[in-house]
Amino acid sequence: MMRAVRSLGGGLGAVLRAPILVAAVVAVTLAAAIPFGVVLGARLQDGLANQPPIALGSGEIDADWWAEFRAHAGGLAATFTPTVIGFAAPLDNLSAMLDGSRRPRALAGPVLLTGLIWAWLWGAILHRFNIGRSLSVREFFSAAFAHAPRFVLVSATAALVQLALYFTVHAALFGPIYDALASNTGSERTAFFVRVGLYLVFGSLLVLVSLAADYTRVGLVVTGPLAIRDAFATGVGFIRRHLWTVLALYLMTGMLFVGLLVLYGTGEIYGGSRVGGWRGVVIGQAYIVARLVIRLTFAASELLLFKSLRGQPS
Amino acid sequence: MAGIGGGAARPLLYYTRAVWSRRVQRALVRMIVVALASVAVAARQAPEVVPSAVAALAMGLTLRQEFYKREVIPAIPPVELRFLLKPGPEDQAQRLVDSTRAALRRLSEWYGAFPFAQLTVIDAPWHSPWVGASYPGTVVTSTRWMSLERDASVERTLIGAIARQYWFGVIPADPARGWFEEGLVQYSGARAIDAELKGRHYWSARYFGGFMPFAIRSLPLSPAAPDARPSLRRFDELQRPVDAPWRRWVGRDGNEAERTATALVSLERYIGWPAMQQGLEAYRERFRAGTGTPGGLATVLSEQRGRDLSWFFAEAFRFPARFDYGIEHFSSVPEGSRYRTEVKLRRFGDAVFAGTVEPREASRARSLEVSIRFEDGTDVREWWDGRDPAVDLDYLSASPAILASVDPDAMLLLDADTSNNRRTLRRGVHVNGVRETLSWLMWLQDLVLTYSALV
Repeated sequence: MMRAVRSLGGGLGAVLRAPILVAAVVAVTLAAAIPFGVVLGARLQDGLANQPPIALGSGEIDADWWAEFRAHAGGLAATFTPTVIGFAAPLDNLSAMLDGSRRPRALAGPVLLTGLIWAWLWGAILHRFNIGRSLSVREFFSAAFAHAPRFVLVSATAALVQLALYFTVHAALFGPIYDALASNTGSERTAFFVRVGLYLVFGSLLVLVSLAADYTRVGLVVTGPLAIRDAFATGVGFIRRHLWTVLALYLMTGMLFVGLLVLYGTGEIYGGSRVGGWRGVVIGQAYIVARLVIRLTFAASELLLFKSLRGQPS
Repeated sequence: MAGIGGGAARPLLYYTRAVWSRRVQRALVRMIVVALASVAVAARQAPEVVPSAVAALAMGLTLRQEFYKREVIPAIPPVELRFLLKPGPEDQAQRLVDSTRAALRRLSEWYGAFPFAQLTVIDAPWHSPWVGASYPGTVVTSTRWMSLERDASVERTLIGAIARQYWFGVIPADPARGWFEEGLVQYSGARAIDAELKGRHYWSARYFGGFMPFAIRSLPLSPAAPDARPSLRRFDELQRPVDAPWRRWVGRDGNEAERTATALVSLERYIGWPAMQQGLEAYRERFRAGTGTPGGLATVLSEQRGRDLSWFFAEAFRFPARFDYGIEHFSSVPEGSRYRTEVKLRRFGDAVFAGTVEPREASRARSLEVSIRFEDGTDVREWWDGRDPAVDLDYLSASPAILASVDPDAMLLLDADTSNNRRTLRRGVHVNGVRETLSWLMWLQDLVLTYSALV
């Protein structure tokens, strides 16, 4: 437990000492999303220019205009729903992930591109935390490209396993099993807690696969070039030997994320219109940056934990 | 003496009682299930013949009745209200009571007296398939465990179900005409929801299996905008599920009922709400024997306005005729020291918004408004006779035109494609569009972060 705490603290320190890395990751992930935003923005400006508002004198995008726009929208524009606004966005994404909601096909492009970008970024990020000093631009790109092929393979394998879990375990848990359990509950509250219980069961499987991918990547960076099968065995072996410490670190980092969500949600609910409009956009981007910091902290902590439990100097 | 008959006799007695009790219970359950199935079938086929109390029993089967409230509201004639509420916070129950009274008062003001002596409001379990049901004298909604003040889904369901009550028995129970009644119900329901909840209900969604609500405060569903007309004409609570057994019309391709509701909103925007409200009230009164038709409403409204409106009904309810008026070409180019502006208007659809019953040769109707805005701020308004398939407008002006718009006040909501209603030559950046694009960008970043965290 103490090792997990120390690793988390060390990881957070490592991220705070690497502001340029954080800025680079923020810039790269934003740059990856911007082309899709430009496509959506152009469609939206077209719509606003050519479609009259339903309510006269309304300066805002009203709900009926939104419905009208969506009725004629396709591709990425069809994903422009009110749920993109403010705190509804993370709620929607988290809920869709746990409920296994089908997403429009148009999102496959952004998700795939981001998966590839992260597979590329992880090489440089983990290398930076492994050597414990700043990287030159050349070193950054060199590390990123050196690890990219293996990391793409790791991510692709994990994605396939996760998909298989969704099509089998998730389908069973939230199909017949949930239906049977919920129909026997007398109250909505009980049904909700049944669902939360099933989220925990399914979520733990997702977490295990995700951790296996994480520690395989960490193993590849720390122990040097390995065959992908050996790296996977190293990662999974590490998790099995130190399961509780690994899980404790995961849970602590998860609590940071939950804390961030609570902060964002509470701020929006009690802030009301004061956190809407442009201020809401800025707060939203601040949330994304905080989320990236937590993700980087987790990666750095995993690496520190891996090294410390294997007796390697950090 | 107390021991006589004890020993072996007592367990036997208990066994007999238990077996008898179980058998009787099973038989009773079987009888109830058969009875309720019959009621459900009857309710599906002819809801008006099912006594409200029996229908309430059928729909409240799984209800654990805890609260029974009976009160009379001063409507004309008085309506006795009964609430069958499930256990829950008192404020939720009060929301139902208040909404019911307010909706009854408003709808009775608009369309005349409530048609039944009593109204039973059932607060069904959250997963009941009967939520939203409305049978003569009985409506069903469902309060939720997690609820928000800004999420008025329960109220919308309730108001929609109450609005349906006012149209029972006005239109013949003819399946071929069910679309008109269903459209009328959706229109009057949406109208009442908009009026009742103006400025206090917001776009909301339920996450995590439909349990956790979240309302977006920046997106009011009935904003208190300068435009007094209802802004939203569709509510999920009025339209879902599309194949509910209490509906007179099940959604099909083109959904005639939804189009009817939209047609009535367009008609309201054309003739104004006071005329529409008085017309609907008179229509209910005249056809309370159950002989109402779309033509009947056209007659009533025409009589009241002193102008024949049958042209509207003939086209609006000619399925699947499509209304689509738009701009085919818009240009404004220098010509000497002035600017020549050309606007080509075209009727792309086959439905005609005529504006009159007279033949085209006899008169020119003022059907649809067209607006041409020039750079110097001049706004020229023209009328387009909707019977003409195409119209060319030509201007020579000192200032170039920047915007052309057909139906600029969004009166003809039946227009199937409003994206061709406006053309602009000075495209500025819509600030709200940029802001919402950035919101979407944040949502996309969060989405890809969420999924990429799994791998």
